[in-house]
Amino acid sequence: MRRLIAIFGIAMLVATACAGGEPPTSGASPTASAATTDKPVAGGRVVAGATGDPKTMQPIISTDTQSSFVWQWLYLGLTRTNYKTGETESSLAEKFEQSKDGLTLTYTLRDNLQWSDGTPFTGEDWRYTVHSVARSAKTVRKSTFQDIVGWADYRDGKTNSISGITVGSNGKTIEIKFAKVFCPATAAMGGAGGGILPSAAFKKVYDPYTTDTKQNIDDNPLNMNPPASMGPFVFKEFKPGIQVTLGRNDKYFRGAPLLDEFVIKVYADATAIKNALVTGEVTYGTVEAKDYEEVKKVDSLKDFRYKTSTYNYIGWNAKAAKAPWLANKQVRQALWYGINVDAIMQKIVFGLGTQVYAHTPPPSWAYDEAGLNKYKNDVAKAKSLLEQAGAKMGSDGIYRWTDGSTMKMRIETNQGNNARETILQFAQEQYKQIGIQIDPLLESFNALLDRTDPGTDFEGFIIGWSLGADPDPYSIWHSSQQGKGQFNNIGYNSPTVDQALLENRNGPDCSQTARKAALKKVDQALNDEAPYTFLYSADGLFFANKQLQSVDPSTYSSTWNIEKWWFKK
Amino acid sequence: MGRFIARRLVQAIPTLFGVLLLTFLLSRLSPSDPVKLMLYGNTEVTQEDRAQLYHALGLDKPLPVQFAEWLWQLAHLDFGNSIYYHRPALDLILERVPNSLQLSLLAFVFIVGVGIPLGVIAALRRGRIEDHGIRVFSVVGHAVPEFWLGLIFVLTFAVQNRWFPIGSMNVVGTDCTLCWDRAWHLVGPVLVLSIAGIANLPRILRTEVLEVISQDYVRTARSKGLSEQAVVAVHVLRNALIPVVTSFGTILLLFFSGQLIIERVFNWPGLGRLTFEAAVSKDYPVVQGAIIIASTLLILSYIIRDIAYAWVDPRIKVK
Repeated sequence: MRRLIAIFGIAMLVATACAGGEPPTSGASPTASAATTDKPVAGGRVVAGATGDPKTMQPIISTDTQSSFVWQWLYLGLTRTNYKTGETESSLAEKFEQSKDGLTLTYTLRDNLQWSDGTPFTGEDWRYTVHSVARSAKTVRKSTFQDIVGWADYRDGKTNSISGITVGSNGKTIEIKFAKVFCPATAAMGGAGGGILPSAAFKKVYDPYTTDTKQNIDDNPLNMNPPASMGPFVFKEFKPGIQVTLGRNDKYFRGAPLLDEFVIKVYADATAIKNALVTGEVTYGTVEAKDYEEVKKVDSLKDFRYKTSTYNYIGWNAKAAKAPWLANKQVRQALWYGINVDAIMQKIVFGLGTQVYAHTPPPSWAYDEAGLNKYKNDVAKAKSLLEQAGAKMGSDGIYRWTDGSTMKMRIETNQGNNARETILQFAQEQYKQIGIQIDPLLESFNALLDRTDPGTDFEGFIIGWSLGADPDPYSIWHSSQQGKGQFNNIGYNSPTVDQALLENRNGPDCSQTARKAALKKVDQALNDEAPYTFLYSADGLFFANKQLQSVDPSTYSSTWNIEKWWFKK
Repeated sequence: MGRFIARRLVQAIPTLFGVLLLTFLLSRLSPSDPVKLMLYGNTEVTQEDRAQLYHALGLDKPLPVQFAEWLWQLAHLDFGNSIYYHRPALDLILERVPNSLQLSLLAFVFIVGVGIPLGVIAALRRGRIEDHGIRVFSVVGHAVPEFWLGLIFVLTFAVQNRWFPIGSMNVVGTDCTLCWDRAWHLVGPVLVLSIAGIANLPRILRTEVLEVISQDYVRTARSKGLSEQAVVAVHVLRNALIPVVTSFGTILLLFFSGQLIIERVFNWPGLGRLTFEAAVSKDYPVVQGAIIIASTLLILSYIIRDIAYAWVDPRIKVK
């Protein structure tokens, strides 16, 4: 066999008219020749896997994770998310302060900040970025800044600058005035809706200090060729379909990274990345629970586990014409009691996760499960709730609703997602035991999006949320968010929750205590009314090459201290 | 000959128009749209942002207007900008073509180099173990799906045994085209892409060789005292190859469809993978552009095949 393979290899070589090159070597190995020591040494290359090319390397028009996975190393925010707690902490800004009335926000930058090309970093870079967002035709980040005083006038070309933004004469302070209070503003403004662009370089291709609204930053060569970086790495090369190569930024304000290079290699899917992790081609990455035990056996890798701000759920459409019982709270509670979430978790994530009882995910600073109903699987209780709601058992073992119709409904999810397919199987079997017949539907993700759009007549669906660090679930639960493409697709409508969501978002008290109290009201209502059957939050399962030191991944960032990563030999 | 080519090119226009219309309709009428896919899960996006994006991408216009605009662009050789990449779709396609050609050409050479000898051997050793073996291989090779074979190759030879890389074109840090590293990366995709073609050729060739070998002129050639090799190579093979030339069109089709899967399985950055990803994410300009280029190449290959057909068999005159 080996001989056959060798012959074939030679044939390929002849066919490509071989003319040199080195025998293949592993891509993820360190290049520095360090002695065995615990003292950090410089050198080496980290290879990370991505499931596609970056579509752009410019944050304003970026909408996909492959793109943000590249630009996050180059364009930073004034603040960042603490990797463990999810709270906002300083980054390029040394300090930040929100006024007592919540209407003014002031950032003070660190001293001597420099872009990788030596240009000083100032508040002008932040203002340039916000101006560019306002005039972009392809960005979806405008809502972040819409409450800044003078935003609309500038966006519509009535002024050549946003009046609510003041950059101090030394460029070290940025003061932002808001027309109304926006509690997540510190993080949202600090992140600049992505990352801050180098204005000196970008001004050469687009200058936003104009009233001509037809000009924008959307299509220019620098979007795929980042000219300067404030992050730990600088852009070196992009090979379409293959990889993006980044080099060390010696001017990085937290100190130059020890690594020489950071390569983002493109793979077809998560399975291919897992394979690359196993073979050593990729230096670090996360795996799905089903692969956890297999990857754990690989000697060259060490593993990490942490909670994530994601969860899976079964959503129930309260406006479903063919399943009117879904508008009834007791029926939805029965559906929660009727499913064994523990068994689902064991089957799908082998216990590597946390059961959730409401929207706020377990790692969030706003998480508080006290007083929430745990809905322990109880078939008798589920049946009793159905009967209290008015359902009557039919001779076929399936309940009849108050209008005489059989309690049969469809639950759909996307094909190819093993976890969701398994949840669907469980739901079909277990809901039959409580007297509800399920008609399962597996379809493409595209079809699922269409079929579960607000206003569409669907019944139940299985999907998940991956949430940001700031707990602001307004767009998911507020009753106003039920238009085409919006996220309250189940028709959830609760004045109490609406009010609490606004308190969490618009204050007037934006303190963590006040926001936590508002979110507690939201979670209690969701737990009681059961518009979703909340299932579980899977753990993050992270693996890294054993030689790689200082790795400390957690919920909100696995690479927060990448400048300290080094290879031990 | 010139008139023949011109006539065939003119005939290709309605075919291409049909392809354009079908591609456009299938991509637009299938579920979801690029903006929905792009913004799924992005809970900060407002309805205004969403509407603005539809407008900026021209997706808020009626379908007939979108189609007419696209045809007008095409008439100017403009394939439009990719919805996701914000770059000309043609640039994206052209930067992937050389990678796909490497695979296709090598697979073609491999198919011809292995398939033709197997066909001849099967015919010359008719009814013997070699013949049976080749026939079994043909049936199996034809029946086994390429994606499955590719996955098995990756799992067995790349993940478990590490004899080959799990995919891509080069090891990170190596950047060469004519080198061991590239040859090492080519083995898997070329082998899997060739299997169906290699399985196909002996079936056709065996029948043809058996038919030709019983012809009078072959007996005459043998009676002239020519060696068996000369009889097979000059008199039998040249005539038996005529239907094989016809089957090259099918092989090209196999390449186009096979590369969509193989390039994904082997992580090969070619046109197939780009088209697959664009189709999944509904990047209309890229999908449409890739299909037009593939269709044009296919139509051209059929014309070339007809010319080659006449060249191989002078009895056939191009009319």
